[in-house]
Amino acid sequence: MADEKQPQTQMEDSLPEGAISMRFARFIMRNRFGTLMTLLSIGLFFLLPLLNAPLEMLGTPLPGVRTFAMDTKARDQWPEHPFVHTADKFTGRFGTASFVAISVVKTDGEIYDTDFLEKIKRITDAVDVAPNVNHYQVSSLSHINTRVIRIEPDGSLTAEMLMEEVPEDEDELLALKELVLQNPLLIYGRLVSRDHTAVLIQAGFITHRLDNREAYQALFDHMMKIKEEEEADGTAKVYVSGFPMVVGWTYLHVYEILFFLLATIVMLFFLLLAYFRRLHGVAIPMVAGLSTAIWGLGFTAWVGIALDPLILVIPLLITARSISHTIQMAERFFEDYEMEIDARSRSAGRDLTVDEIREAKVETATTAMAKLMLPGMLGIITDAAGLMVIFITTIQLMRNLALFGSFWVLAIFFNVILLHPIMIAYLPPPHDTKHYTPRFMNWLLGWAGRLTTGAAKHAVVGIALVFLVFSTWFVLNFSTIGESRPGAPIFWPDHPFNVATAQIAEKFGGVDQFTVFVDGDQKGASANGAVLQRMEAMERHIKKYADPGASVSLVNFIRVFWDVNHYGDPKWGFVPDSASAIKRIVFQLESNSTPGALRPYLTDEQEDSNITFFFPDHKGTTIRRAIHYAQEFIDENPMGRVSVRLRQDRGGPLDVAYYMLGPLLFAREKNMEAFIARIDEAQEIQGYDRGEPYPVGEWTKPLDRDEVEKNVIDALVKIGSIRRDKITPTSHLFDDLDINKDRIGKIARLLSARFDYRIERLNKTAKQVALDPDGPWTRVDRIVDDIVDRSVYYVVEEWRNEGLAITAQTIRYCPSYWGYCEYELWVKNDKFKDSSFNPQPTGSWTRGSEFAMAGGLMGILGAVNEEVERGHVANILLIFLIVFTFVGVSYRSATAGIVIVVSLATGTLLSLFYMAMRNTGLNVNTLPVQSVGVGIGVDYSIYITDRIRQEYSWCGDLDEGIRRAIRTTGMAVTFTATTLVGGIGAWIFSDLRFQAEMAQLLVILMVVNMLGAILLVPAWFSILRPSFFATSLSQEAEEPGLEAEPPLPSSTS
Amino acid sequence: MGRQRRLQGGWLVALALAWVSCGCHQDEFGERFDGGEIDIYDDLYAASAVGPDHLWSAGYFGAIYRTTDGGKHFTKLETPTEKSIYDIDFADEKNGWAVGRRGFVIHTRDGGDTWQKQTFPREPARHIFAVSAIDADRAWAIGEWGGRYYTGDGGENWEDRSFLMDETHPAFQYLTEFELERYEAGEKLYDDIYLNDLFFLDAEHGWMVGEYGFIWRTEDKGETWERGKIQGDLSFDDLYFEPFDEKIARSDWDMLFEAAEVLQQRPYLKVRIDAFLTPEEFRKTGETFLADERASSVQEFLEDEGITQDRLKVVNPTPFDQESVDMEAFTKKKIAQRPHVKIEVMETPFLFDVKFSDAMNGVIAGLGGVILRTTDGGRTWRYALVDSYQAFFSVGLGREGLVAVGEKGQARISRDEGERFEKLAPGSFPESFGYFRDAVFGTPERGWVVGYAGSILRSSDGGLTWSRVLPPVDVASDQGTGE
Repeated sequence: MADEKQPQTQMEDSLPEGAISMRFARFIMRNRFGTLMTLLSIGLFFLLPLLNAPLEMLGTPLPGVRTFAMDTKARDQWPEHPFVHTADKFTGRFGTASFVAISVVKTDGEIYDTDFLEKIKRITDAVDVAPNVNHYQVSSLSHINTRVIRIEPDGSLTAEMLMEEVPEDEDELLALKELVLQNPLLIYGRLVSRDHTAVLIQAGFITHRLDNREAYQALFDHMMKIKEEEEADGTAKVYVSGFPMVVGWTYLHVYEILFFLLATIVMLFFLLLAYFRRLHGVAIPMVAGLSTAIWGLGFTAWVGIALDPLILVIPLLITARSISHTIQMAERFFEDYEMEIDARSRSAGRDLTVDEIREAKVETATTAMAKLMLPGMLGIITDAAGLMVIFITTIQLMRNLALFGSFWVLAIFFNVILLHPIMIAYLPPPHDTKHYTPRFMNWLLGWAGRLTTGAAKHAVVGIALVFLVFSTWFVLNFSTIGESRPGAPIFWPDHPFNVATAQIAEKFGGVDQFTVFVDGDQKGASANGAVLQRMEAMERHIKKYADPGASVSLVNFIRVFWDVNHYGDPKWGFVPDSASAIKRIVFQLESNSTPGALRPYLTDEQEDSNITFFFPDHKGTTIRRAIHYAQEFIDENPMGRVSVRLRQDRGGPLDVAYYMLGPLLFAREKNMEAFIARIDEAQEIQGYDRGEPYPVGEWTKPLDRDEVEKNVIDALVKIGSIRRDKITPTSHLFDDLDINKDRIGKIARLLSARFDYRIERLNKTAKQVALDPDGPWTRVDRIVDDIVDRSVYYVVEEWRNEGLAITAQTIRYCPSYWGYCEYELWVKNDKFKDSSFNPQPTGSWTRGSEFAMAGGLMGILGAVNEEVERGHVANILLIFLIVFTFVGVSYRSATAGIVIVVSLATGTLLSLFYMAMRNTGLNVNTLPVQSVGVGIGVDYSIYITDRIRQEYSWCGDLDEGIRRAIRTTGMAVTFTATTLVGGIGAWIFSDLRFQAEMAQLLVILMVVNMLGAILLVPAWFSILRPSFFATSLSQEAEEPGLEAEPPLPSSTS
Repeated sequence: MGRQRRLQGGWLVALALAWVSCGCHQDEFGERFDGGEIDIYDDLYAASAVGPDHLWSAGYFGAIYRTTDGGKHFTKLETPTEKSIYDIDFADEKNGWAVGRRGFVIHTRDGGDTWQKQTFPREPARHIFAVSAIDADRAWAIGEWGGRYYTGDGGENWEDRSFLMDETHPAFQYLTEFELERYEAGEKLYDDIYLNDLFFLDAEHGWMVGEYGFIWRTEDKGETWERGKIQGDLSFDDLYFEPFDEKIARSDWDMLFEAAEVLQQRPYLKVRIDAFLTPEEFRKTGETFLADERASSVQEFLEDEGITQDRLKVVNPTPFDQESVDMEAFTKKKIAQRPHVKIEVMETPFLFDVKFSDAMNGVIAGLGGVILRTTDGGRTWRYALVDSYQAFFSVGLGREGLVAVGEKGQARISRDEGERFEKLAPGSFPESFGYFRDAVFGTPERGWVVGYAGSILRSSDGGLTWSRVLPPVDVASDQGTGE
């Protein structure tokens, strides 16, 4: 039997009528019908895209209405980072980061068995027809791309397929084995395991086509079908790994996520029912939560964001927070309702009539709204601001999350603060006026109140400080950025994907690729002895310091071929110095291979090349090591005849500031460096002299608009083959002029090259800009405006060398005070046909060839990790700063802000300590959970603080006020946390490790923050006794025009 | 109030300090290898052993590995190059030379702890493929483009004793005008001879080998050199023709078929075809083209049997530009009593390595499974019997036999002074599918083989059994050595 709470005099804790929140609450409740209709209309607006999803599947979508979608795009998880710019630049030239690796392990004995090799051939053929496969990037024993070069006894060379036909007898099988062993570079150890029991089949896929669920699903299904079919006879096990499979498995588990979502909702329902024991306490929070979810999901559709299933936990959290706000509201309502009914009954001297009860209900709802407006709004705003902070990263997925997440949170104000009291007003009054509170909770919270106001409060604070300091130290020293374990952390170690990844790493030395590109400035630039020798030196440097499992580049082929070309004498296994020898070798290699066989290593025009390193894992430390030493080599070994690059100064206190606050600060200044090679008579580079860039510091003048328009129209006429009289400034390129897309690209390139219009962006070619459907190239006048706008930029510095016919500029497209706006390097090379300025996405340019980092899975993860690390620290700091500011300003007390921030920090650091202890690396998926988690914590603390303030204003004793606040709001806080823990707790059992660990993390966050709110924050206040508590509600009523009055029963009926 | 402010201020400072420390975050990437430790196991091309314990091995990217304790420990020596080192030879434990690409030569007097760069007197610098150290001061080196060099003062000065072209050289007539001008101006014209290896038993006796079956010997300290001759077992009888006919007689077909088959199996053999006509045929036709046609018949026949054109050399064809040639002298060379074609087999294997156990007995390893042996100091050479057509890069002279190693991990042993080479006993040689490039013995018992990816094998029983000493087993498995 629950205990009954002692009634209090209603007047003693009421808000003054003149208070803004009270006046607003009364306005809303007086116009509650209109408000409700408005809210319902808005809700309907956001519901439509959700309805459109099934309707679209049925073929009858609502016209003019967007459709809610869940999808994942690999590119959205990448930040704006030089590595990503590099990967974008070279995508399609060599390959992508989307590789699938299949290991086929013979269950018994070595692979040199006819039936097994038939199986390999079947699998290879099946992989070669997989959706969106890049045929030139399929490698396997039986694939046409896999060739061996023989030197015949007469010195002639032949290049033949390793396994054109499946061997049928022992001799042929033995011959195959010998061939494998004789080619350790690309076959033995790479395609065949060292112990001869497994074969690796790899396939690259075209990333930009893998940008939707259907594509990933088709690929996943295809691979799983191969696995199933080829494992059926029991002679082999098939293991499939690679990033596309991660996405596929995730989609497979999405249904489980929905199950857990449903389980969470059901759990919440029963918990609410058990606690409140009445419809008001259950239905209203569920309706409010549902309504908030509808607003949030609908918003994603209307702004064109597809919800990524990998971050589904975030919307759940936000919805859960909306419920926590409604619980606060409900708890407050029931508490006050009980008091209100009692007070009115006593006043009337009898039981209240139905109308009087209804009136009391509305009045209580009104005052509840008013009282919770400040803490509620404060909580919501800080939550939203915390999510908005994520905007400072450049990862599109997180920016999307920031956008819809903050909106979702703001929607709580409408769906909870406003809607909840309105629903109370329309629902029948609760039959039972008693406010039930469990006895043991009363006892517990009573004890907590005594603990935090008695002598033990110092111990509470002391222990918390110890936790804070220790956690901070541990996190700083042991936490990791990036995935700290091999495989995909979103799955458990025994998940088929992680089992496959581990197996492939064990058998083949790793499939995680780190690619360094060689960026040439013209045809044949990379088929050059000096360049290849430098590539080889880099391979050795990385091998020496970063310990990759293997590496491959054109160098390997050149060495083997040169050796073979000289009677097979190994002494000739080096990279020749002369370019003509290299070209001869490349020609021979290409002649003896299938078309495109060299394309993974050298572009067709021999302009660009690459080195790919294979690592056994992609842990953060492994990636950082690879990047560090690759960059070290590049910095110490410039290439090419002329080299220009933007360099960022490193070292000193500025590094600390940028590490901590990075994106919040202005773009760090970059200085131009120029190097000119000293060439000897043998045309060999003997060193470099430095060029001297000079400062400019001026804005350019805009181009003449009329002239630009004329040139654009001329180009449309000539290239687009459009009659001049058809073109007007407002002509739409597609709708009016019906122009071909290829022509648009050509026009953009022509205008850029001939007139030096800066149409390109740092990460987009002129053609890409022109073909961007969201870009300016849709209408003639918009094109002209864009060109004119782009002609205005700030030239920071310039370097010019007439002899070398080069001009390089460092520019910015925004004023220096604008904040995060990149320094861009643009170079004009008059030796080329296109002698206009061109942007250099990698921040460097070389006449000849230069290294550009980085591609492959590890290159991209390296970029992501850097962004996560920088953003993570800044994110947390900024959230704390926002919380401190809002709380401090709201209560006009720095102490209040500090106390709450310290409490939050303790919870946050403890959760990070937990992650570090569990060896869970921080990555793009864990970061938003941290932000959301802080938001939960601040809600609790703010509600408690505000209740302390209110209680103190009534009783005049801070410690008593604290004890009362803990007993009352503490109950709601406890229940809220318990409810959320109960709801999210089910996720701990998810098959998705990421979800399960995040659930654990969130449970810890909620529990710690709950304890912080009911123990730590009160204890701090009891010790510090900040003066802002003295500013009571009664004292507010003494200000002119604001008088404390008891609530008027008829004002909101 | 003041206490409150102080408290607040204190907290702010403490918090700020704590969070500033968040920025003190740096990865530490230190050195992975200590000085002298082998970081990358490079391909090894050559070895030099002194006594049972000392071995130096050199190879790719300027690598030189040394052991002084019989292979228990190896040290990577500092060298002033990242180019390939092709050969290394030590006269004793202290004094030695290493040579390599583009005229590279270094010398040490302290066993390899320090090296001094030296220079060959030749521009442009050519690749140097072999060096043989006689003693602390004397050494020979050879390389491409006829390169042959000698030093008698420890390498302070190297003498250029390269093969040159003069008017007596058979190819002199084919020089371009530019080359002739240079010759007449007194410049050296180097002969296009590719010399691969060099061995000096002592100061007097030395041998060199190279492409096209080139073998030279000296026994007067290199003052004079004479060619060694490979005595093959394949020969052709002269082919006789009917007067005024260029068709090959049917009776000769079988002989040609058999010979072609042997030629197929021994791709290092080339054939010279020289055709003749009778005085009467010349009188009647007034020219020597009939001889050319006969030579073409033979050539086409052999090509039809799969012998590639580059292996068939027709000598003395009728010149097109007869005005600049002494046709009378030329015609005399083409006239014979009977119309016939002389076919001569040219023993032109590509030779990689030469070693001698004494002044008379030596062995050569070559391409296509060729192993040659001599018992007359290198004047004449015969083919050993070998069951392989894969290249042998080197032969080591051990107490128990001659050990030949080569491409794709093959190894053979001869226990009859080089008459016949057979596979070693199962399990006595590590299985590997990378190449082995050099085999040397520091003592009759202690031998070494070096090769692919830093592989070093050791024998302590005169060559009967071998075990791997470098790289360590776990690294060896990564290198694809099949272990």
